[in-house]
Amino acid sequence: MKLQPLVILLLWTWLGLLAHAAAAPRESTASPASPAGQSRTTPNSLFAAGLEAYRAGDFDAAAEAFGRCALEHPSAGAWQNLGNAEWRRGRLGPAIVAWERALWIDPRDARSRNNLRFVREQAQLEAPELRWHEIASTWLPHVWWAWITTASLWLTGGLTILPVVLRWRRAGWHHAGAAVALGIFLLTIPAQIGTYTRARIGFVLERDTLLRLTPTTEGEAVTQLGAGDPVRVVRTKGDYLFVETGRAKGWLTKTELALICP
Amino acid sequence: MKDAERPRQQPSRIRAAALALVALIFPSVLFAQPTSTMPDPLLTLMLNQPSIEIATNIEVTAEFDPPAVRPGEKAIYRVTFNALDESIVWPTELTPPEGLELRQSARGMTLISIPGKLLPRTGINYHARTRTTGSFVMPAFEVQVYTQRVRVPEARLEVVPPGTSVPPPPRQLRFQLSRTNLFVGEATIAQIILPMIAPSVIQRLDQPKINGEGLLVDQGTIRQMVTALPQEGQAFIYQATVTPLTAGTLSLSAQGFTGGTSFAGTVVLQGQTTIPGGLSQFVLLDSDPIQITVRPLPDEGVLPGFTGAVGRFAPDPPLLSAGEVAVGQTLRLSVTVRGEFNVTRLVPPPPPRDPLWRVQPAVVTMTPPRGPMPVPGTWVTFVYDMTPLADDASATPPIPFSGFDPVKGEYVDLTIPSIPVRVTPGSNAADARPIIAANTAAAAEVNQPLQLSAIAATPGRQAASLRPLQQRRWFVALQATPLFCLIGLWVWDQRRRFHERHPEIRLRRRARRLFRRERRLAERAHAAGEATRFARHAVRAMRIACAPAEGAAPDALVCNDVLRCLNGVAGEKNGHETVRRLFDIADADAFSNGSVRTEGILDLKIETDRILAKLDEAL
Repeated sequence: MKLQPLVILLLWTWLGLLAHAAAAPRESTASPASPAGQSRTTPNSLFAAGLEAYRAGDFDAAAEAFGRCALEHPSAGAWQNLGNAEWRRGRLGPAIVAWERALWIDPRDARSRNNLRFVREQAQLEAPELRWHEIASTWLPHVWWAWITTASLWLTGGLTILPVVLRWRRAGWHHAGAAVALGIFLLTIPAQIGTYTRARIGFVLERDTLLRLTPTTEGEAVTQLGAGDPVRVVRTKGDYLFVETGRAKGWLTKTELALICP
Repeated sequence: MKDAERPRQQPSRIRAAALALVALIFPSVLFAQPTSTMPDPLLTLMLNQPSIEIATNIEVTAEFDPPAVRPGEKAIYRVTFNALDESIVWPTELTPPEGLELRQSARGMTLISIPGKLLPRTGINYHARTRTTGSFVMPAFEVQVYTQRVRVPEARLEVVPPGTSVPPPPRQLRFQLSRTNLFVGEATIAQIILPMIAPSVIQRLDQPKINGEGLLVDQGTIRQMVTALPQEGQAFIYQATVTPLTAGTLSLSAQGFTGGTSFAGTVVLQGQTTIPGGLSQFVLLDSDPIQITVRPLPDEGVLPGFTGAVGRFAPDPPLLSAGEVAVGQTLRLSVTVRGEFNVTRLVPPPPPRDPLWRVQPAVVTMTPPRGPMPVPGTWVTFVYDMTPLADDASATPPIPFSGFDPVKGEYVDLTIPSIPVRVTPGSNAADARPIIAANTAAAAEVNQPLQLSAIAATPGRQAASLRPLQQRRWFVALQATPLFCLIGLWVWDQRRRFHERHPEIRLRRRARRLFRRERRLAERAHAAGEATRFARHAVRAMRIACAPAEGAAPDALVCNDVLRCLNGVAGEKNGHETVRRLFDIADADAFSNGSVRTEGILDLKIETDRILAKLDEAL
């Protein structure tokens, strides 16, 4: 009985740590303007350099800076701005990939969502057809889903096992808590599956990309894909990916498409 | 009476049952409709059609038209089959003699009507040119026709020196477009002109066709006429509206068979004409290709309601079916749009989103507009059904519509204006409130045009990686922490429960630990020569060793208890005297105030060790 407060304290500490870790990808409030003398390789300086180049109309330099910033320190803003810069450069496929990655990090990023709608309407492109569990996975950042699933699972296990093991006095809140946590855990499972399958969605980078019947350079062309066309990766063989689109299945090289989650 | 009727009733019942069974199994036998004696008119029509002659004896001709030309002049290498076009497997490339250039210009098929049959005639044309004089022989070669190999005979072209008289140039079609610099979607008129072989003698152009990719030929606008042209004189003209669908430079040409003297459809004849009699010569003619430049529509300046209308359009004022309408009742708005060419393909603008109106998508009708009858195909009428949802509405909503004017090179506003209308309260006005709310939201969304968002001023939400958390190793490893904790707790609980069921295990373990401690202390006391302390710790060790077996606390045991334990548990029969002496000294040390006689007690060390070893084994 003397252990009960200690265990509760430990449990809450652990959950607190989880919550803290979940909040790790927090909003950055850093000023885009880097102070003089700061190293050019910091995320803020890269971001600021990208902003400067974009506003000056140098979209090549902006794409370079935002691309480095997004790869080294992924953030929704960096990916969104990279998409804008790529779009201004006339590169539709990379622009769509960048905006999709911005949404992957922050599903509530209204700008990237708007840009995707805009360019898809402009270019008469289809958005990837998401299944119901994939739509559920877009309601929260995928990091949140992982932590919620983890916390609810161990809360269920803890509230089920600890009162028995530690011979706590039987209380209704043990069962209620475990039931609620189990319910949350079960509800997050589809979103977890959706996150996993959504990570296999990719986008064609260049226009007139041939979808081939066999994983060879001489393979017969099944159809031609346009830049920004969504595909789902089914399996991999060497440098080739077997993908399915809304109208056909076939092989693409790895360099011909970019996945949301590389 | 009843018995007498029974034999007569039984056969009728059996017949009824048999009839019911047959009806159940073969319902069509009993309930089949009477077969019509009239033949199916469609089937009759199909059977009455003349059959297409599929000749087993394939005839092929190959010739140059004309057979002699001067250098640089054009001749037509023409191959003709009496077979269906689809049955001929024609080689992709021909191998002409050296110095002769060949370019395929036409390929087509016509069906020649003879009594009771249709004879297929397929022609394949190549334009041939050469810059050198000489005799050029197109060698014979074989092609697959139906299931047999057919030999295309050789053909000879004589190229004579300049200045030499040669036969007249080959008969050709002339192909022209009213405009050759177009925008995508801009319709223009194409004419295929067949000059007459003699003045006032006309021939029909059979199977006319406009060749070229990225082009839509509007079959609904085809016109045929015979008229006098300044260059060709009397000519047969086939006219159609064509619309380019792709941007870039397009190459177009025309082809058709000559020789038909039977005219189908409406043909406008002007001037004095003669239709020759006798058998016709069906020859495939073609035209020189013409290039047209097609520009894409500009991205800038697109106006709301653009549905792909390219051309010059003029909408008439819209008309309403009534000037007054009650809430919930439907009003019909019709607007006629006129254009230069065929506008029947015009896509109506989508219905507007207005909170106070529910507007159905437009229906396209070909009802003639009011006033003088225009040229068919140059107008189209859009009809919208509109329902007012509230009596606040005082005019129909404007319908955004726009088109691209290729002459101006810009988008022009063709919005269908709103018309004042009197809306009276209806009986179901309350039912329309949810629709009004939904329309308001939809209208707000539609009225906000999409455009590229501005760039983000801050990095926003950050992530360590794009890779999902559940696919990262550290995250998987982290899950092991609570797992191991829970497993450890469970193991500990199981162990605790086992000890609770078997308390003697813990008692013996604890006794063993204390026994060894006391024994060590006794040995230290013996080494220090302290007999009393030696006896005290030795006795204490004996009591601890015997306590689990006796089920009592060690301090509660007396000498007899230890001796009994020695006899029973340890099987020790000797050494009782040693135990008594040790107890005597220990008790005297504990309870006596006087001095304790300890002579010789240290000499019992060996015997004491043996007893303690026995007890240790038993423990």
